Amino acid sequence: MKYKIVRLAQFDAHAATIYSVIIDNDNETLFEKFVRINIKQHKEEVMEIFGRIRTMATQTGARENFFIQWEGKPGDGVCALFDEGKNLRLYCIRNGNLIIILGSGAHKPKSIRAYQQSPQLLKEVKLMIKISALLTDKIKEKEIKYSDDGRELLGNLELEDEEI
Amino acid sequence: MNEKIFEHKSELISKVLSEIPKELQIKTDRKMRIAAQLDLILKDLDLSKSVFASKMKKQPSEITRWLSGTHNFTIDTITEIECVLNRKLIKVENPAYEVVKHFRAEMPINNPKNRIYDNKSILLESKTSSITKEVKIEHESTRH
Repeated sequence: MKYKIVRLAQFDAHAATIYSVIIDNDNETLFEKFVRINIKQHKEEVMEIFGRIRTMATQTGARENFFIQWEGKPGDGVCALFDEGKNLRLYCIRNGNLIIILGSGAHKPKSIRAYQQSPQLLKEVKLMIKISALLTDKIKEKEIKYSDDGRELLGNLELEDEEI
Repeated sequence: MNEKIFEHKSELISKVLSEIPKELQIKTDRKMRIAAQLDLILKDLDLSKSVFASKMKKQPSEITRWLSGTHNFTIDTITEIECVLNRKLIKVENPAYEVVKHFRAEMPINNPKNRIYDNKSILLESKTSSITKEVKIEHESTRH
């Protein structure tokens, strides 16, 4: 499978750069899929998450305290954004305060405590863990680097994984 | 290094962003900025969440919620935090100072229809008040 990391033009601002991922030859990013699937049933929550992403992009940066941490493996940056009522989880990879890669997510029922209890949430988290691992490898191999100001990912942003 | 910049423009994202009510966005901005400011102060004071929670007599989970940028702080909570940390969390502007130099002492007037105001909303006269006494007051701060 191929994972192309793309910058989301609509969130272009100075405080943080917002990316998402396109899988293979799909037309939409993981984030757009998340929006399309959840906007009808959870419109307010989706809008709230949008508002939070816009605030981070334009004003505050992606501060650690805005996310649920340690959703993935130690150090992989996989974390979750949520709305005020904590109904929706949007999984992301956070690279410091300046870069967020938005993945997908789902509704988290109140009846479960951990994402591992929801097959859909577990699937989305595992995908982000995979993408984070591929990205880390590319950075270690110096095929991808950060721009001098730390706000951009530079290099070949097409990641490939033959195992999945 | 083969540098490719993939920029993605999405009609769906544009549409949702344009539909976010202005009031909701401003509320979100303020909640997140207050949370960011609190986080900065705690780091500056080298205070852990648990120590801060103990000073505030709260559970650490409550502090996590405050810092998440989703919490709707009351003025009372903000004031309590400011007093405990001895730092300002938000800036509240003083209202424009209003100087009233002259007024007439009036009998209590309950019906607004009986009140006559000038164009600066200063009560000039009451139709029902038979006793009027002009009093001149000059505020201390206006004497120079």
